[in-house]
Amino acid sequence: MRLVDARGLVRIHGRGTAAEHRALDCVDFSMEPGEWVAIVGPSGSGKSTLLHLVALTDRPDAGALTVAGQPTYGLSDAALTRLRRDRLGHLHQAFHLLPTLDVLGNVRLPLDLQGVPDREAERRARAMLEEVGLERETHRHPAALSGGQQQRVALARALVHAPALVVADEPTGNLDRETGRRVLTLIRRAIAFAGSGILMVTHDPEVAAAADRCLTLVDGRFET
Amino acid sequence: MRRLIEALVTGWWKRSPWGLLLTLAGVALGSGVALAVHLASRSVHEAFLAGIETLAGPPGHIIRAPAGDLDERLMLRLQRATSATTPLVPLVEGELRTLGEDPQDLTLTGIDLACPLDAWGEVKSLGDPDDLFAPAAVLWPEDGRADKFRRVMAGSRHLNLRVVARLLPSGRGPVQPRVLCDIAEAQRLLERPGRLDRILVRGALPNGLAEQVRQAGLVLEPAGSRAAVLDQMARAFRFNLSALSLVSVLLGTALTLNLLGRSFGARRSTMARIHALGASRRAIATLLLAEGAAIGCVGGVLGVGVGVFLASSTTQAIRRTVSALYGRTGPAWSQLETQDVFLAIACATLCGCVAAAVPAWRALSIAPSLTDLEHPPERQPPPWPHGWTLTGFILLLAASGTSAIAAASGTDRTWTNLVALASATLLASGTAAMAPLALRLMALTRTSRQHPWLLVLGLAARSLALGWRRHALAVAAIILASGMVLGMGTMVASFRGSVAQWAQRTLSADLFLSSRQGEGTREGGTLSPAIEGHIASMPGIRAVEATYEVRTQWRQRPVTLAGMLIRARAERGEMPLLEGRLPRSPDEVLVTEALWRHHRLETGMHLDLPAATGSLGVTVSGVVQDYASDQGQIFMAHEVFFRAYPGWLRPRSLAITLDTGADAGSARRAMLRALPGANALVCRTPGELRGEVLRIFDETFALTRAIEAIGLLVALLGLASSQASALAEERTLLVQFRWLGFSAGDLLRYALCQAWLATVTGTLLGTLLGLGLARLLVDVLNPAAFGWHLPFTLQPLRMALVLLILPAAGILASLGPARAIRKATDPGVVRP
Repeated sequence: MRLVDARGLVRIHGRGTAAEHRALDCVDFSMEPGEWVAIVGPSGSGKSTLLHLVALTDRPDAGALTVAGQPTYGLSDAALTRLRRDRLGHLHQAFHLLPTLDVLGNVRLPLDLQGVPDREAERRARAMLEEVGLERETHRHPAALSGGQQQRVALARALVHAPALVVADEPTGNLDRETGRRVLTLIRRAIAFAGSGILMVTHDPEVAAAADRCLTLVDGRFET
Repeated sequence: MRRLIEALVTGWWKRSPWGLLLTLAGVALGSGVALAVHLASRSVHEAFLAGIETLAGPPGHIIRAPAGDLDERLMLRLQRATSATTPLVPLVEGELRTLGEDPQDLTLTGIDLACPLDAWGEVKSLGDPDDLFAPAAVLWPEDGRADKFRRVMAGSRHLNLRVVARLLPSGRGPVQPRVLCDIAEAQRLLERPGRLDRILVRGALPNGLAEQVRQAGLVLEPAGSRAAVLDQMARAFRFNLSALSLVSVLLGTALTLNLLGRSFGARRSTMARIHALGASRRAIATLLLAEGAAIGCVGGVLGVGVGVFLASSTTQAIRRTVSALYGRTGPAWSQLETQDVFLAIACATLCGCVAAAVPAWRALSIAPSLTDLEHPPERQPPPWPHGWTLTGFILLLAASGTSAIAAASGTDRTWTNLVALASATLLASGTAAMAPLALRLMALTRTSRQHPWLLVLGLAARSLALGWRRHALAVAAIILASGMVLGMGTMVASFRGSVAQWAQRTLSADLFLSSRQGEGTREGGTLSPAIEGHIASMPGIRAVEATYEVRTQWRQRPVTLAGMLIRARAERGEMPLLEGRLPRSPDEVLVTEALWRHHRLETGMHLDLPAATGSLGVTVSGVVQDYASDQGQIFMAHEVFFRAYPGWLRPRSLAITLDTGADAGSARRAMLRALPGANALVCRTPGELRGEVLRIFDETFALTRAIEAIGLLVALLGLASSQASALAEERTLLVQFRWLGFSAGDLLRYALCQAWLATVTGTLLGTLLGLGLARLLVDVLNPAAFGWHLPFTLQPLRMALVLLILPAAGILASLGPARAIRKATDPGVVRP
């Protein structure tokens, strides 16, 4: 079973207006479980659009998309939400940690949403924090952490529920080069620990080089 | 500049028209309530002035009987005893009701038509001036109809009146529609030959008149004295209204502040771009101030409409209340004047400017940027609101200090009212200043994460704690509104409960008989001396007790002296004593609590009371609870009363006790059939009397309920706007929730939990404020304003209702923003 299977994906922004723009134009693409795929390309090439389609936060205008073995066509918002909650993890350039929760609260939130029992959720969140080296920062708030620490918390949150796929949008974009390298090493170790695949969008050739496979997107199509 | 306005102001409001409408509604309601209260207060004030002029023209005196009417021969005697030129004007009055589809109550006033009629209005004759003295000729108030004859009912008789002149209102003319006619004709029409209600003394008081009046057993008082007392009585009422309107204005301003603050947050990027492109910060700040002023101005114009609507209904309600409580003359609608309109709009504009000052100040420090700005990150952990908490504690300490001073200041009404007002303001501000602390404390809450609702509730509580700056204003508004509702409600309920209990206790006879003449006025009428014996001789009647009353002046205040069977009434439990004991010797009397407080009387104190025989020396033996008169009464045995007023044999009312098992309804019908002139009598059961007492009470406080409702409405509008603002600012966070697996329903629950928590916090603090305000009103303001104490009665049901209903209303108020944010955070639309 493929982790992601996209056939003929089309996404048109501003449909029916003067600003109509074909962001993705019949894209075919697939990923195997546990695989790390990087997508590179110039600005406006459709990288983020593809990422959002795979992340189930957007719907294609045409084409078929299967994520974690589940065809997404025709799924209700609630079903998409469940799929996203149970099988996907997210990692962003701006970290997007919840300022209202401390580190432990942020990391265990996906487990809480899944209804994992309290003790089990706590144990798994602490284990994941230990994996990213933040076991001593559990009760600090995100704003009190450095950028690298925040991204490690985000990584722990993305992987704590052992998702099949992590979608990552420029995960090292806000970090200095050295911290970015350390985070990349950590990502590789952590996805191995959780057994997840990762689809990453990046501009950085060094980051792209760390992936198992690198795809280049130009004007809404993959370059062969 | 035009482009700048378009980019920053008009463009924004076009994109969020509901926000603009909400802001305008807040300003319009706030200024409308203030204007309505101003107009209503002026109506009351003008009514009192008009009352004075109606009664006596320019400053003068009134001669009246201590109770009931007087013989017109007394006037001739007074005229002869003083001088022929003494301007004494006799007057008789009665009630008329027009016949037809829309019956109207009018007062028929009989006066000497040869006297100047300026005080009554401008006379427009319809024919020969001599017609004024023709049979059934009257001067009819101008009502737009040209009928020459009018059919009316006086008592149970139908009369056909001939309209010979129109009476046009002039200046502050009589506010109650009056029909004028010559005094002799009025006496004939009203079937009161030779009787007068009052004698007006125009101009300066002639020498010796006061002594002659006293010797005749009559009362002489300045024309304004009654109106002044009424004015004093109404002051507490007007004070109450003004305080409530102030709360509404404050809440309206808070709502505007909140909405403008929200719009500022949403336009930060635009401002930063405009600034980066060359517009100065000062220009942007000025534009925001101008925007606030424009919103205030337009809201003020709308508020004039709201105010006129509210004032007209308010005046009607006050008119009914004042008529029921103090006399037939009630306030009329006070015309809206140009200066009122300007004042309302100016106040609303000022509110808008004040509300815009904070965003304008923040605009002065905005950094230039051509990219989208993130909302400024919150500091973690959120800071504790030390400043607000300290301020709150200081204000609450000051409130307790001032309330202690007010309680100790005794009977000085003005001083007590001022200090109590200061105390109430400090208490309300101090409690409202605690809103940030209450919100911040929510960060300490721990909820189970296993249930979706509890998980969402915990996140909502933490969000409120973190963003206390955003939510504190709305919570403060809810504190003020719920505190006002509970405080006023507890006071009114304590008052109503006391009155109901007192009425239940003191009305133990089976029937009460009084005169219909003057019904509904404090003076009332009197009964024929023969009636008591007549009723006592009827079958089925066990006992008849007469109460005799004389209204007079004592220590510059009106007082009623009442002769009654004190011991018999006390045995039935109708004399609840607050202090002292029942009279044991013939010179001992009981005083009511109002009189006791106003004059600082003590038991055992010797009093010299005015009497027809000169003066009456009595001793106070006890103080009795009484809510019948806030001016004070002195109860004495019949023999003491007749010693002071030997010729006064007309009872004010009769309390009739029936034989055991007799039916009150049948006895009443039989009695009224047998008594002569029964249509001039009113016979009520205790239940009817209690109903009447409570009806008047409820009418008095109906207005406060309407204004409380407006206060709550404005507070809920504030909550809705604060929710919209907070959710808009939390949009990134909410989208993040969606990415993490929150469903759209979870977000709706999150927003509703926030609203519920904010309202519950506000209502809980508001409950404490309400209890404090109620204590202040019951223990300090009531004794000072009315002269009686009320047992403080907690209202657990009302408190429970407020605690249930207000949060539910809060949830309903925030449904709109919550639903909007649910759509706006669709992960397909917005990405973090």
